[in-house]
Amino acid sequence: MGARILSAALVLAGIVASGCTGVLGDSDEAEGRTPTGSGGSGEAKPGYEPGDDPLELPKHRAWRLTPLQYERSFVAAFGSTVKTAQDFPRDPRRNGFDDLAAQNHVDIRWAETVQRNAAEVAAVLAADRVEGEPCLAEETVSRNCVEGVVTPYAERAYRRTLSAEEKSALVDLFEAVRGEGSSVAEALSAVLEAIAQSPFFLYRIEVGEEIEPGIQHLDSYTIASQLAYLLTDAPPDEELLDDAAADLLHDREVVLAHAQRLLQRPEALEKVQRFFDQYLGIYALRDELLPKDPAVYPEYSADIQAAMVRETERFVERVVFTETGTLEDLFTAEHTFVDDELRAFYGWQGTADPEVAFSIPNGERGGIYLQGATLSAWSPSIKTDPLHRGLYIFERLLCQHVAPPPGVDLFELADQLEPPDLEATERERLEYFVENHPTCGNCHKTFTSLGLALETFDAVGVYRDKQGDRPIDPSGELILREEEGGPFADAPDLLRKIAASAQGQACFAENWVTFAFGDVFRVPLSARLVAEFRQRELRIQDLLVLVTQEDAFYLRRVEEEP
Amino acid sequence: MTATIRGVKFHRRTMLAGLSAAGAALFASVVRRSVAQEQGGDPNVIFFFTPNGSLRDEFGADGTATDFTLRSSLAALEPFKSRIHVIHDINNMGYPNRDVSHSNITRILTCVNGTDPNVAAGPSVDHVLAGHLGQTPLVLGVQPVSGSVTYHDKVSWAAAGVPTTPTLDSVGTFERLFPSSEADSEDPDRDRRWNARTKSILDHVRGDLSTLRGRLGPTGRDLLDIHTTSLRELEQSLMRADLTELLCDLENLRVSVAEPLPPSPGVSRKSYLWTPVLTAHGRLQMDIIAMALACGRRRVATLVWQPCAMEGVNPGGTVNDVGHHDVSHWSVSDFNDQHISREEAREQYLKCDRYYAEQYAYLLNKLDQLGILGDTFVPWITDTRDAAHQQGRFHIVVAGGENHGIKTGRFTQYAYSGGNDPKKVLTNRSFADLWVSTHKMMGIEPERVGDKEVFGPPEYCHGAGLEEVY
Repeated sequence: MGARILSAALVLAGIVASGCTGVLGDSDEAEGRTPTGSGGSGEAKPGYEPGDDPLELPKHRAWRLTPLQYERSFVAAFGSTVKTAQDFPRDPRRNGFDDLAAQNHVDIRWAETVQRNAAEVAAVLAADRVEGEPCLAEETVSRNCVEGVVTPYAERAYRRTLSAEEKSALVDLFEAVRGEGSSVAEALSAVLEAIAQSPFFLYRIEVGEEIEPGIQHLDSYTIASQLAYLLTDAPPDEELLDDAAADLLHDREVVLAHAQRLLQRPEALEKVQRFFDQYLGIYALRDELLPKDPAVYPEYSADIQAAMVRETERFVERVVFTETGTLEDLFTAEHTFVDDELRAFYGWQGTADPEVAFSIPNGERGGIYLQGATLSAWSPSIKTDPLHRGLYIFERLLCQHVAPPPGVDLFELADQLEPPDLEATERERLEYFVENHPTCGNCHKTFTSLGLALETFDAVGVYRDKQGDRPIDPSGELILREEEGGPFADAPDLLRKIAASAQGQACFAENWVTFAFGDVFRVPLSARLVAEFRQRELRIQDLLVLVTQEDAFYLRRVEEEP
Repeated sequence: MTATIRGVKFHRRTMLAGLSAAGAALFASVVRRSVAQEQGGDPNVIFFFTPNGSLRDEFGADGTATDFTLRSSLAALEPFKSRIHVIHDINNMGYPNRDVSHSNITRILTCVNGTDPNVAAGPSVDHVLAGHLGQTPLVLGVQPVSGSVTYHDKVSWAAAGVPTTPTLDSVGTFERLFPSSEADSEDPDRDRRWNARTKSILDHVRGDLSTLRGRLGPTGRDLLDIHTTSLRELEQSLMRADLTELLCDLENLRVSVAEPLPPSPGVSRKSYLWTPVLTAHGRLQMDIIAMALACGRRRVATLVWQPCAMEGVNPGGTVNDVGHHDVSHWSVSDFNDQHISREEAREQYLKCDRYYAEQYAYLLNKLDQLGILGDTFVPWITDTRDAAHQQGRFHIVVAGGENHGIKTGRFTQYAYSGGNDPKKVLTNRSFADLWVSTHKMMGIEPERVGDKEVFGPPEYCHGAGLEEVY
């Protein structure tokens, strides 16, 4: 009884949240940009050439570091660790991603934390340097000496060389503080504090030269930072900075070689895990225990939830890194990596070693989307939610979007939307809804039918073939924009079809590009990237570095003044 | 020597000691404020947000413009009847194509339509007004159970796409607003050096920001402007010989801030058992806002009483753990009658309104005690009209601000022409109109487009404010 009540409320919430006009909106149209690559079947396009549409390039911007990037950059610049995760406010998410250049900024809490870290570390560092650097003696300290001491810190912090004016300004600051009666250590500390609070440290700045009106080509230092933070959430290492100093990073082959090198670092695995956390929406499982109702799911626990997260982590590591797997592997692999507790939770026989691939029995599931973490994250506390599960597949796996609902009072319709049969399955409820309210129902069935395929998994990801006493029918039809989708028998079959479709392949690439460029719906996916991805047999690792060959990695559109 | 100006402690000796250049500037503003207080102080505004609409037939007033009775939800405001203005049938026109959704929370204070329902397409009025004053708004939240990860608490927007998440941390906010004076009366020279050093560092950072700003387009510049404002606030909190402490009696508030909130009841977030925590936290946040205004630390604040939709505590609940949002819907529908009846849902929804009216009265009382209610305009806003989530015909209350032209002791019933598309319905009065009036009350010229004064795009704001209110 309670399940029905909640499901009804969720249907209504979903209606309100998701829209229901019976008209499917395209994400491109919805955001007012020209549809380009997501259809996925276009011809490969060459790189940007004079006369091409500059709207396909990102705007010139300053990209504030994430808390993790800040911490790693601080260590690289000043040799001292800082812990800030608790101090910084959480950045807002759009489409699940939180690393967005157009919205992340320095509010007062950021400014305070940054100032506090700067002051604490600078004081210690300055005292050490004064003690060990004869030229910093109170009586004889010179501008040259100060410049020699502070410049390396600034260059590491700003991830580039400094101009003569910038060096001079730092020494001016030293002298100004000294002029007020402060000691050398206090003045040196002030300069280091200023460096650690400078926007040139806190933001990834995009600097370039105009190559034609309104279009800039980024300089080598900018490209070095972009690449390093993209793949490792850390500042560029010495090898990258050396090539930046030699201005070699205009050569896309050189950049590609660095990308492949950086991908071997442990930070790259962490970064890719963060992408999947946000893309799948499972980040919440790391922060708190999902509120699954113990009366309905008594076996669900913090340990099980943690085991599910580890399952997905290991799967990503094996598929993307160890096995250099393909999109098909990601969507459909018939093995996974569970510990024995999670194996038993899923109801599988035998024993499991999390370091060894476990064959999933009876083909009941496969791939990353049918793992416990994802299925649990996409479900509320007491039951499944085919509406939102379907919406997720519709939006994230197919990159299609639903227009907002019309201005009807849905709550007045509540009694019409729920079938009188209290034991109705989710499919029966949807059918009742479509029949009684076709205006909304015809729209909802488009994506809810995708969610119904996942009904063979309960709200904590355990396989089932019945809801109550009634058998579950997970079949349906996949409708794609520009190609044949066709009928599917169940969830694994649906995912196989999406992985094989040009739309599904382009959509996965679009999610990675959105994450990589930090610009939701602003950077159209080039058909060239998708074509290259396919040419490389859809290997995920290749996609990760292929974005470095995109024009959007090198060129910026200079924003017009309003 | 200690003098008192309208209840505010005033220590002359320490006030004159060891002033740096920045301290002197602050001193000058404080003196201006002290004089102004005797004549009627500077105008302030507090946007008081509560979630999930209200039970309209019990919320508002009946009668004529000057002879009216308050409906039952607003009983707690009876002592302030002469200080409030009840408004019926004002509209949120910021999002004409999406009539029924909580995501209109992003449009109430921004009044700008955009393509993404969950993201504002322009700055909110609190940021705009504070920006005119060289400040940022104090945006505080009241939410005992974990933070919102969606747009559900995003009332305030620094710029298009840049929400200001309400600060829940009372202790940190207090310390930032009222830093303990580190002034060393034995060595004022040391404080002077400290302040000069701090200013030099931040000036250098501001110089870098200015250089960088010149290289960016409008979007990037908006973000850097927020950074610049943050530095200004940071500087204010770092400077020694801070005079705020010397002019305001913060001791009671300092004690309150140090006290722990009531313990978690360890139950579902929707439960009424959270209400004592909600109330204690909310009143502390209101105390901080009131004191920040009284002491001249801020002139614009936004208080977000819980996120809207599914995420909040239900202060009107009973033994059923049902959320505020849920009872709003179930108050008009029987389809969940196995769990909670329509009547019980209605009763709980009504209790939520009464609860928030009590909190609103608490804030008005606090402002009155500090002598600044007449200077402080307090619009009470919400994200949806009622159970149906519609955006037309809100019943709202505003209060205070009479010293600066706000008309109180009034009830205004606006005509409603039906529909919510501002391009079609030109006579409906909107929140954008109210924010134009708020600009004027604050002594700030609203933006002018053609011959209209507007807030937000002119197509969503028809005219020069609400003459019945200001």
